[in-house]
Parts: sequence; C-alpha cells; structure tokens
Amino acid sequence: MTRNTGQPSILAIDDEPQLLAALGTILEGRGYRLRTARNGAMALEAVADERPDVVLLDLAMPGIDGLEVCRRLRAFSRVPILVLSALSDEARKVKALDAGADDYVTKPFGVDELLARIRAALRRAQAQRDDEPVLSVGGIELDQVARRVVVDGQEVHLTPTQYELLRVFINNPDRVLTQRTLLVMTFGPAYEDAIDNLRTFVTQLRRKVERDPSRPRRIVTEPGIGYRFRSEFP
Amino acid sequence: MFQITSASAQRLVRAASIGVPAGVWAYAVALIASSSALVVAWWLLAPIETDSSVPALMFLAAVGISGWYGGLGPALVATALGGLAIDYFFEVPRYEIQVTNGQTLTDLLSFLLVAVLLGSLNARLRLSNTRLRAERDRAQAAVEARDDLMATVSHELRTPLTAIMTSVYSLRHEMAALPADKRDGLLGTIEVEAERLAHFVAEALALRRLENGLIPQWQPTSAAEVASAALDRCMPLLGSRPIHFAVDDELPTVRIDPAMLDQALTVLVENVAVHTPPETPLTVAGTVSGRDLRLEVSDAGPGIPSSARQLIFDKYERLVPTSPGAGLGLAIARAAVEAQGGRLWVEDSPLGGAQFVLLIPNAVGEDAEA
Repeated sequence: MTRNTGQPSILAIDDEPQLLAALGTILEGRGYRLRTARNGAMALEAVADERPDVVLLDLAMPGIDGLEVCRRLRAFSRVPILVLSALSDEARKVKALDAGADDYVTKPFGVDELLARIRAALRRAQAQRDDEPVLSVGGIELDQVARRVVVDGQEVHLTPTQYELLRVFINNPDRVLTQRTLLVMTFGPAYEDAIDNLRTFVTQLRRKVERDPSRPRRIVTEPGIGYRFRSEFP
Repeated sequence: MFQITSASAQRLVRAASIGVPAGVWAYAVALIASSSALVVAWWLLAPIETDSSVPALMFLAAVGISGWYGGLGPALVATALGGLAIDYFFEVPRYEIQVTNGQTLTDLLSFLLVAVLLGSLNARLRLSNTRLRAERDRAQAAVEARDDLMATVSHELRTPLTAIMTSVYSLRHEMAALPADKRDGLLGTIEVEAERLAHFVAEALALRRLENGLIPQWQPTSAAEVASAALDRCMPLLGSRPIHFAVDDELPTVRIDPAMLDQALTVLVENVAVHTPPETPLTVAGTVSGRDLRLEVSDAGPGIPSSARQLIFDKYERLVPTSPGAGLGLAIARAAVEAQGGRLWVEDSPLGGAQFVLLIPNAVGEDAEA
C-alpha cells in the first residue's frame, strides 16, 4: 500500500470475464489501474504480489468462495475490501463484513455508486496512513492524547463509552461496521452479543455529534447490518 | 394424479347437477320426498293387496333423496317420517301408532336400519362430492392465476429486453448513419431499460423470498433508526418536498426484523415520491401504544379510492397502469410486514392523500419473538 505510482490500483476478483472487461474500461477511463483475478487462489496471490489499493470481491465464486478469500486476505493485508454481492447473498454479505470486508454493493450495481464506494475506500486507506494523535474527519476532531472531542468547532463531553465508540467510527470512516464488529472493537470480544446496548450507546452518541439526532447524517444506520460513519454528508 | 381426481369429480358433478338447497330447504326436501313416497304408496299401491315391504321401499327412496340433497339431518327426518308412516298406514292395526306384534317390530327395525345406512352413506357421498368440486375449482383458479402471472412476468422481462436488443442492433449495424443525438437516445434507452430489468428482477426475487416464508431475523431495533435510514435512502427521489419526520428516537426498543421493516418503509416512501406531485408534503410518523408498533406514511397526493384499497396490495396490480414499475412494491411491503406478524393497510390521510399504516403487534417486550 505504501508503493505509489500516482494511479491507485484496484484488484477486481470475479469469475465473469464480461464484467471484468467492462470494469476495466470504466476504471481505466477514470485513472485507476485495474488488475483482475478470476478466482480466489489467483486473488490471494495478486494481493500478496501487487499490493492493490482497493479490492473488489465477488462473493459467489467457484473454488475458494468470496467469504473465504476475505478471511484469508485479512490474515495478511489491511487493503480495503469492497464486496460485490447478489441479493440472495444477504447472509453471506454480513459474514463477509464481519470477516473484515469494508463495504458492499449489490449486483447489479450502478457505476456511479461503485465509483463513490471506491473513492470512499481510498479516502479511508489514506486516513489510515496518517497515524496522528489528532484525527479530524467530517467536521469532528478527536484528540487521542487529551481525549478531547470537538464537533463543528464546539467541544463536546463524552462518557468513556461514547468516546471509545466515536474513536472506532472515526478510525473507520465510510465503512460499514457490523454490529458485532463495533461491539468487539469498542468493548472487546466478550461483548459481541450486546446488540441492544450498542443501539443505546449509538443513540446517546448521536445526541452529542448530530445536528438532528433523530435524522442522523454522520452515523447512519444500515438496517439489519450495522452502522456507517460518513466523512462527507449532505 | 391430479387429472384423475378432476375427471372423476366432473363425472360425479354431472351425475347430480342440482345444487344443495341450504338449511330449511334441505328439510323441506325431506318432507316433500317423504310425502310423495306416502302418496305413491297409498294411492297407487293401496288397491293392490300388499304387505308393508313395498311402501317401505318407497320411503327408503325418500330417505336416499333426502340424504343426497340435504345431508344427514334431513335423511334422519325422512327416516323418522317413513317409520311413522309405515306404522300408521301400512301395519296392522292400521291408523294407529303402536307396535303390537313381532311382524310390525321386524318391519320397522329393518326399515330403520336400512334407512339410516342409506341416508348416511348418501349424505357422505354428497359431502365428498361437494369437496371434490370445490377442490377442482380451486385447482382451476390456481392454474389460471399462474398463467396470468407467467404472462405478466414474461411481459415485464420481454419489454425491456426487446428495447435493449433493438437499440443494440441499431447501434451496431447503423452506427455510421446515425447522428450523435440518435446514438445518445439509443444508449439512453439501453441504460433505462436495463435498469428497469434489474429493478424488476430484484423486486420479483425479494417477493419470492418473502412468499417462500423467509424467516425474520429478530433483533432489538430502534424504529426511528430504521425509518430515518429508509427515508434517507429515498431523499434523491423525494426532491424538495416538505418532509415531516415524527418518529421519536426515544420510542421503546422493538423486537422486529430491521431489514424487513426497512424494505416495507422504503416501498411506501418510494411510492409517495413516484405517485404524488412534487412539492407536496410527506409525513413519516411512529408511535408505540401498549406493545404495538405503529408507523404511518402519509401524503397529500390523489389518495387511493376505497374500492382499490385491497387490490393495490396484490402483486402486479397498479392503480395507474401507465405508472412505472411492475406493481410489486406494495406486495413486497405487505409480505415483509406480515412475515413479522404485522398488518399493512391504507386509509385517508389527514394531509388529504393516502396514509399507509404499518402495525406490528406485540413488538415491544420479551415475548415479542413468539
């Protein structure tokens, strides 16, 4: 990921050559470099060798399936993974997100939507590189040393739980975080089933960081899946 | 297997093509048949010297007819009437209702035995015949409904495919002759029709999954969160219309399937965007009363006439046939609500248009999962 030739590189893993060809035309036209892999084994090799900036991963593939690819990738790489899933793949989609995928689009997807998700994934990768004591995302500043939080120029006081939750969100902007992932990242593995508590903490946090807590713009709900912290919002 | 059942049912129906008289009429038949049996036996057979066995056969016929047309009750009435008539008119001593000798007793008992058997057998035969006919009608209706469905589905698939194929053909074979704006038009058609196809396939698949009994993933959920997320997703469609969001984020936690609720609310809000004039208001409101969750999506559009308020929830039904979509949205919404044990209906909106009400009973509390 540190290697940078100016053009972000994308690895697309799908067993359908027509889709890969069309993606190539679109992405290369927008200044991305595209590598393709037709199956899971090729994908794992390509990620190890070429260190792409973003991975597009089809969940339904023969051989090593997308979910397994996701797990094995996460064993050695933090590259953003964008899952391409079919409507009938709902359950597998959540599993892939639990296993470390960053986001998903449902096939058939609109090209604009896909490009927006790729940009968000790249932004996130960029943010991760800046390992600084003060994080600033979407109008929220979080000082990790002084444990101070400033929202739209106003300092707000958070409880330790709310602070931890916000820290997880700010460190993972524009990424779908499943309820389980959030619980584990915020409280540790012993709390992975405390979904009801998570909902309460999110509601409390929204009261501190949202302009209208009943119509959240920053911390948005993905019903049945989890939450997404948006670095850009209307 | 099905055809054999149907054919034999049709034979049975043809054998008795008169309908079942209901209630009083069934007993009237018993009375009329028994009286006729008496008339025949008395006036026609009286001149011939005969014992009580020939009149008994007449009364058995009356019992049989009563059982077939009326069922078991009328058959028993005819049996009783027949027994009384045999004793009164044909047994010695005549014109008295009493059993004085062994012959009378034997005659009456044998009549009663055969009559009860005949009556109940006929009644049962009639019942199974009726059931077979009803079943055949249902099967017939199901076949017709499936044919209708296939016709609609293939229309929804073929129409965009035809547009796409002809546009591609033009672009491929007449590229040189086409001016730039025509080319753009054809490409636009391909894009729109492909999206329409994708939308239809996604909807049909979603409905199929719900119809096949998709099991809800129960989760403690904030109704306000889900409603807000659904509304957000539809914002690009809703344009600049005034939106009033009245789902309190302090409502009690409900135990529902958030993805299914999202699916239903998204359909309802999308419908407002598509079917009501731009700039007209939209309200999304939510309350919990007792343990029931109630969500309302209200608009100020043309509303739904009361005659169509059931029909619009059927699949492939559209109030305005020219409106976009295949008519699956509300069928999906209803299936998603009913899968969670809830109800979805439409009424008049205080805003002047339609108000869709989504009610999930017992959503609050520990045993909401039951």
